[in-house]
Amino acid sequence: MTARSRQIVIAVASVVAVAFVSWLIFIAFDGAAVDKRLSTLNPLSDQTQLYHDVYVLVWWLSGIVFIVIMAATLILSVLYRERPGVESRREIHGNTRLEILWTIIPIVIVLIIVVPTFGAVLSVERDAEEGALEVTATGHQWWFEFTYHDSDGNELFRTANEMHVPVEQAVNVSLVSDDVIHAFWVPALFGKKDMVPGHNNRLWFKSKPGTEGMHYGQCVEYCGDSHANMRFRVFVESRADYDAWVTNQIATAKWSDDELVDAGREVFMAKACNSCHQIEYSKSDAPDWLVPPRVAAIGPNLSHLASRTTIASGLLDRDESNLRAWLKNPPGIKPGSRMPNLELTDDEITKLIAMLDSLE
Amino acid sequence: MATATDGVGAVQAEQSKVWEWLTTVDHKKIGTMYGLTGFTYFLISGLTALAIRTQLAVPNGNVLSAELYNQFFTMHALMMIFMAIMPMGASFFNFFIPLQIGARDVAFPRLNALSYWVFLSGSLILFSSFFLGGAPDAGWFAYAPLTDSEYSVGSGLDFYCVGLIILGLSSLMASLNFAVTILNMRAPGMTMMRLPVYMWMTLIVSFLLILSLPIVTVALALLYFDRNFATNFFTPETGGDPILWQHLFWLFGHPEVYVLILPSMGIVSEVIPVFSRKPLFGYSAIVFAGAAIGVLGFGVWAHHMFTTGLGTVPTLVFTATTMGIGVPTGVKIFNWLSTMYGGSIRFTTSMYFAVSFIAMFTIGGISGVMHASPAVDSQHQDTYFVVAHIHYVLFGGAIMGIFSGIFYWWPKLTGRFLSETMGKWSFWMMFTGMNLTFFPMHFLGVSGMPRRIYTYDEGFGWDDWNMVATMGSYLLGVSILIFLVNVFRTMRQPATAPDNPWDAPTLEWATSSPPPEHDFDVIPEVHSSVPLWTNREMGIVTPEAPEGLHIHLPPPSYMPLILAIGVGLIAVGLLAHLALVGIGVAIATYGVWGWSIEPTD
Ligand code: HEM
Ligand SMILES: [Cu+2]
Repeated sequence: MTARSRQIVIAVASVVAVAFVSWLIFIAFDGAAVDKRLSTLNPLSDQTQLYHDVYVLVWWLSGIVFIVIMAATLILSVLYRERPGVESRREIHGNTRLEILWTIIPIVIVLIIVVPTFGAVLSVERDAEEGALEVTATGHQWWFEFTYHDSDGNELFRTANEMHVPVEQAVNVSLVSDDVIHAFWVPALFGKKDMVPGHNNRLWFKSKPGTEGMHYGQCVEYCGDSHANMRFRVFVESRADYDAWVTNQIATAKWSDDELVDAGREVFMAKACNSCHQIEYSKSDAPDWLVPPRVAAIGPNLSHLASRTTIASGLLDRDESNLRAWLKNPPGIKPGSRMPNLELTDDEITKLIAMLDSLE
Repeated sequence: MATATDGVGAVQAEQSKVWEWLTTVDHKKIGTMYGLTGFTYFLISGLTALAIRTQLAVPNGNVLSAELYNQFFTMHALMMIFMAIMPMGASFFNFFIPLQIGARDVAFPRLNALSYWVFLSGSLILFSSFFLGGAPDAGWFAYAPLTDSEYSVGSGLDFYCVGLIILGLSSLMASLNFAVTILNMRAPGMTMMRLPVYMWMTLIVSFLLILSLPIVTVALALLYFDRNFATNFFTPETGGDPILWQHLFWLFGHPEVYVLILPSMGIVSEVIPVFSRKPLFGYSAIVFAGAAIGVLGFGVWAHHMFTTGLGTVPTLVFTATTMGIGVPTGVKIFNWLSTMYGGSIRFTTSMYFAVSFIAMFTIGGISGVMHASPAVDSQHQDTYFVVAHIHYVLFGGAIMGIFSGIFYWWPKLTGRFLSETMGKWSFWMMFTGMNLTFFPMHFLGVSGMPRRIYTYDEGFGWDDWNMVATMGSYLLGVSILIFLVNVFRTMRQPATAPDNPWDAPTLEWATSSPPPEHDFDVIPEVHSSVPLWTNREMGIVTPEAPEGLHIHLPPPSYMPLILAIGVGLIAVGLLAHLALVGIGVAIATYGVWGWSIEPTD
């Protein structure tokens, strides 16, 4: 084999090898996009779409650089492996033209990334559209609280761990924290933004048409023991479904005369659950001792717990056995939880669950 | 009788051996101690990593509790960065600054000993937190206000503050020493542009540390005050600002990542030309690119904070600077590759590690440029994508570079060759293991797996790649075991290595293997950046050592040890009882006093 054809064979084989590996990597990246609850490759809002477009560009450029450098490393390693009778070409010390060339190549590559990045950042970071829905999201160790406001900024109601928004509606989220830094992230709907105590960050997003459904979110700034367990959900809904949900949330907690529920309410007070949680019964339904003034929340507002799909910041489905497990020993499920083990008896728990289930 | 006397003699010999090490000011002995200590912490930190991977192998794993997991991931990073990679770097600096520039020791030998002993005390203090009420558990960058005494009740974060301040002190002293040595003690003829690239990188690292350590030292002190004296630097309720911590930390933290990588860039810049049998391509470009990285490294810190609500303009500015730092990085990669071009490459184990450094570091560089775009970063920040990035640059980069250096310089240090066969086994296992462990983390990242979670649920689609990553990490463990066996077997062999087994061009190869205590009998002339090659071509022969050669060396001293014990006690006092601080100050003062009146000839 001549030197020339040897070089060609080595080069082609190396490129094929690297291309094959790159193809596998491509498949794996692609696989990450499919059916994953927190997939970052599944943009469902205008904002994530803008960012995703930049990502796709960056990804392909990266892929090209990857293939070129890996193939070059492989080719050079094989081609110039020592062989009897072939001397190294010691005279090559450097070459100013080449140095300039490969200073320019990376400059061009990063410019291709920088320009669309600037465009996307400027448009995602601009102020929210007129008439955006105003929601405050508060991070707590280790759950999320959502406070909805009317267009004048008055508080309407509070809920936890599940946020509902109308489809194709701009939503302006104020991000605050009650304790340490958390981060608010629903990869399908908006990129990550930190909730910093003492700062007032915000983000806004507008879901695309046809994105109705449940979308997963997660705290993505390490915030202590149960950081892993700090999840939430966003429900994108048709306008009608959303309005019905709001109407229910604004209403006072549903009163039930069921005996077990009543017993549950007594346990709720006796065990001082109400020192951290609120259930906002109507004054006309409930005795005075059941209607405390609204205070800053230590735990989630429970007025409409039964309208949620999960408990414990999205950790557990809201069903009988999970509620029981939670009430039995909260820190056992969520290490470090601010809700202590209240040493409840099975009987007390049964009553509480009946009461909680009535809070639609 | 005779045997009994022998016993006593042996004990005395043993004692004087220990004493010799405790009081040594020889840069080679100090380098050995740095290396052994650093490698020990590397192993311990590796074990914490294996525990972490075991916990994450399957969803809802229950190998580690949340509390322990959080301590492990925090200490894993702290130990790797401050107690493994940096001291292993310092170990090489100690050996090779004098040897590569043709000096007989560093500029301040006692200060050098002090740096090591202070490092040892700081590292022991930080490590002991595991057994004294819990290690730090707020991540290596310890974001306020989670670190406040309200949210981190135990003393773990105090160990963090005090331990890192002490470790920083050690690095600061060492860096000043190294910078002064390189600038002032070069062999005749060794101009700055004839300095080996490794020395250039060492010099840049020293300046990075001199400039950045004071920043984090201040931040750590403020945090300590917040926690212990109820000051309000970082606590929002009383007007402090948690974001201030982030700025101070990353203003140090970003230069720090270059502190970790530049030494390895220097190592491969030595290794690749030697085994390609060509001078380094674009020597001055590599040097300038290194310096540019050092300077730019101070202007990119807020890329760690894109999601904190910096505001649009700062976000765009830091995007631009971060992208900018990719350029000199690219230049270096091209130059290493061009060095291989047209060479006659000997693929020793060291060269394997060096070439894989280029490839792995490139992958880390690419992902770095990817999330230098805030558009990408807002979806990648605090996910496993970033974990993949940092491990490609730190494992694929820094650690692979260190291993390349170990295999390259081992004969010089010990007079023995590590086994190439076992070396290649450990290389291939490490290479495969590291890619199996860390490449899947890119996929986990884009499928949204957050970093620093002690558990995850089924149904998120993360199960398979996590299992692969865990298997890969076990393979990494095996590769390290093979390396250890290699070292132990090698050390039982006779020291037969010649002076310059690789036909390398730098001065450390112009003396015996291992070098004599005074390093060089006669320091060779330097006419280029590849002095031994040039001298051979020009027919310049280094003269034989004159008869009765006597080289004066600084005498041993135990004052550095005393001073370090004093400093250590001050630190312990800050954690335990303030009275100990007083004792520490007294001992340290005695150390300084003794130091200053001690005769140095
Ligand atoms: C081409 C050069 C590089 C660029 C553009 C770059 C960019 C970045 C960016 C933007 C981040 C923040 C990611 C995030 O948290 O979302 C980051 C994180 C990080 N980078 Fe790089 N990087 C580069 C090279 C390096 C090198 C050489 C090292 C070290 C040897 C390094 C070590 C790290 C570490 C340790 C972190 C994570 C720190 C943490 O969050 O714990 N990077 N890099
Ligand atoms: Cu950085």
